[in-house]
Amino acid sequence: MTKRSQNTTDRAKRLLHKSVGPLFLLALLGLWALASHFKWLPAFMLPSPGKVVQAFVKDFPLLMRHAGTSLLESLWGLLISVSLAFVLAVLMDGSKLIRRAISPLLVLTQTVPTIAIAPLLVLWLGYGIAPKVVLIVIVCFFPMAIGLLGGFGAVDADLCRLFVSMGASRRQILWRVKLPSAMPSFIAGLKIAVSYAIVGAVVAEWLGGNQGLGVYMTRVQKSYGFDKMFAVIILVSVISLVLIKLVELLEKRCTRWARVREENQN
Amino acid sequence: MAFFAAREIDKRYGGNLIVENISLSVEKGESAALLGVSGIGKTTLFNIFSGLERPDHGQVLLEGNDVTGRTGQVGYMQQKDLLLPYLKIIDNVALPLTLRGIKKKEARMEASGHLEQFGLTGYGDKYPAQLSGGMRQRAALLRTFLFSGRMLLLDEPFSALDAITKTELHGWYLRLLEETRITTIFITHDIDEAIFLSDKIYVLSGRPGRIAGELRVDFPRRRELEFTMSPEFIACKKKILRLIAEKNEA
Repeated sequence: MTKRSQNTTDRAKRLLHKSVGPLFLLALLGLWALASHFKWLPAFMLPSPGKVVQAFVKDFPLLMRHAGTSLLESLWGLLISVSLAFVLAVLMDGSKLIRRAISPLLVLTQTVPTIAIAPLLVLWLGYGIAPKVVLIVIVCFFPMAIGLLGGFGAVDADLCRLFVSMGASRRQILWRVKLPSAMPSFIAGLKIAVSYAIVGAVVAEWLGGNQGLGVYMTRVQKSYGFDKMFAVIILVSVISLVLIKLVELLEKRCTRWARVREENQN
Repeated sequence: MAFFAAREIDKRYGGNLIVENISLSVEKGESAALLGVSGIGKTTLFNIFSGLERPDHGQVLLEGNDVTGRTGQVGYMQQKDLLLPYLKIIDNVALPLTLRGIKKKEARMEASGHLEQFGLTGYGDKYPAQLSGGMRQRAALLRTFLFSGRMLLLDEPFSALDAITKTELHGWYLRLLEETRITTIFITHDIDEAIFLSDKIYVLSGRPGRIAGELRVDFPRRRELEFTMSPEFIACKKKILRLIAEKNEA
């Protein structure tokens, strides 16, 4: 093969790799449009993409109000999760005894099916925002706590010795060495947590509440408004994607130094 | 009274004696080498000198004060450069200052005043990953220097470098010693490096590690590169080799 044709195939390959994701999505969307156009499924069960967009536009103000509630719950949940993860990771990193004592409990919280405890939380904490926030915390703190703890553990012991030899306190070592070193793995955990958070809010709202996307979802489901159902599902996905994107921006800001290395090697 | 001294130091790990009866002393402005094969307990000694570990017996004295088991008294540079990858060089070297509570801006000012002397001009804003091994080593040395301008412990400061960079750094290091009159002890397993860079060599050998002998390196023009090929240099090297061999036979 000549060099030029090699280059052209390379470029074509790159283009294909870049666009294959969106193309595939478009294909699925086309399939969906076809399926509803030819009535492979009854129209009320599978509304056409156009119908979904119409439902979205029509219910937009209502959707936004419910989304506001769900977002508020998610943000509170995330905030508390981050704090809890931080406190747990610092305690567990600081003392082997504490680590031994609470790590089984931590794992246990992750084995409890959320759908099963959500109604209990509603019974205990009422129909307000509290049970939702608690549920979100239960799902979200874990990936971040594990990320932080792993990051702390991966810090070079010699680095800590260096700081000790320079007379640094434990707190200085935590803030100057351990936390910055653990940032990448913490952010990996945060990325998982934000997508869990909004889904957690929706699940909690299904099982009791009077505001939020989950409440809207159960209502339209019960009235067979599948076009609205699809609209809200897409909205939930979009919110998750936006949150993940925000975390990625944060990641870029925090790990500028790591990309410097890549530039250097190229 | 010696500037820095260790008296009759013993250290065990899990019942095994690692080093035994180590006594040494360094005068102000002197450069001493601790020479011995790998695994002889040189790094253990430095951990004790720096206060990171306590000896089972013996004392560490700085200017006559007992500093045994006390960290933060002398600058200690470990084998790895241990620069923080997420800090710029200027902030890495200024670390001992900011740890002491000095404001970041002032710490940067003070640190940047030393960049030239340490051959790091123009590298303050780079990240460690952008620097070569020799540069990183200089940065680590500057950080240690900013921690303590009086007494430095350097654990194999040049062993990770290629031969050419090493020779270059040797020359620079000797100039730095002249300029700053800083007191240093450095660990090495390279006999040539020990003779070339120090005023005094302690040879460690045996198991547990003991001081097999002490040598003064005191020749005119010994700071010049030709010295490494002179008869005096060779004689010195022979003496050291004999010391190590004798101990191993005994």
